[in-house]
Amino acid sequence: MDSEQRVADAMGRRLSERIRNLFGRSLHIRHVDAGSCNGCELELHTLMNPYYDIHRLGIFITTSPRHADMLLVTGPVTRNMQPALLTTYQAMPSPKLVVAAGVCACTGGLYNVHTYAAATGLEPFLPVDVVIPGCPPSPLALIQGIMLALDRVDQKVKGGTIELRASNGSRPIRGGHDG
Amino acid sequence: MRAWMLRGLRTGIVATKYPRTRPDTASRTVPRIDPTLLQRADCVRLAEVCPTAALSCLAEPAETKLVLDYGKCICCGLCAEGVSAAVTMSHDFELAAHDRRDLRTEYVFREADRGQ
Repeated sequence: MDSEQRVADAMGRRLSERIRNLFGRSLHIRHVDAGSCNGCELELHTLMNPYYDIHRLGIFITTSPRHADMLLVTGPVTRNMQPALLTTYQAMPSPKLVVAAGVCACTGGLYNVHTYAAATGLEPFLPVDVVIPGCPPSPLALIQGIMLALDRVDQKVKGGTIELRASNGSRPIRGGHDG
Repeated sequence: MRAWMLRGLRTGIVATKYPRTRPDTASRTVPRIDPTLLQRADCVRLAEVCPTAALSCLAEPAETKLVLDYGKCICCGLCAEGVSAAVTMSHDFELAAHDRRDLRTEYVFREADRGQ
């Protein structure tokens, strides 16, 4: 068990090194709006203004999937946009990363009910590397999510189970959000 | 905001760095549940009031489980409006995760603990 853990750690380190070498210096993002309400797009566009300025981090938004390293998807993936999304993903050269921005891309968000648009999030269609919750995620949250995909920051949130006493005392067993 | 303006006028640089100390954003984001204040009776009411089922409740005689899923939360704030004292809206935004299951937190009340 311990040797398995060591192998897993070594593989993890090699993978993050590889990611850092491949994408660490410059990242080109292809953004696809898969039926979004455009709230997430507004937050994404603020990343390119001088206040947040992701260009100084080496991150650029590109319009061609052939040039892209990362696919950033917003919106709950409506039925109309599914073929376009899959074509975009197939047009991107490997290695590539996929980020789901906003709760719509995570789980369908507000639209995760039975509608004609069949919008239930990105996970049934593409392998997702990072999910960024938020409705919409603030620009700093988007920066944190993109950096997490590049392995330049650590993941802060960790779910889990908190066991409670019925009489309102608390005794956390494991996990929990640390803010 | 004012410090940024003054610094920008003085140095000509307007780009803001990622906050080094505890980051905060002006707008409210996801709810935070205080486990010490959460009552077993609140769980069903919280699940009823949430429009996207980010808060869901499984109530059985042996255990009551409240699940808070950040992956479904639209930050509407209905859960923090008077249903339970345990829920407050926070300004946490560093919620990105590799696995969607990391966004789920379960709060479990077990029948066996009652009266202890």
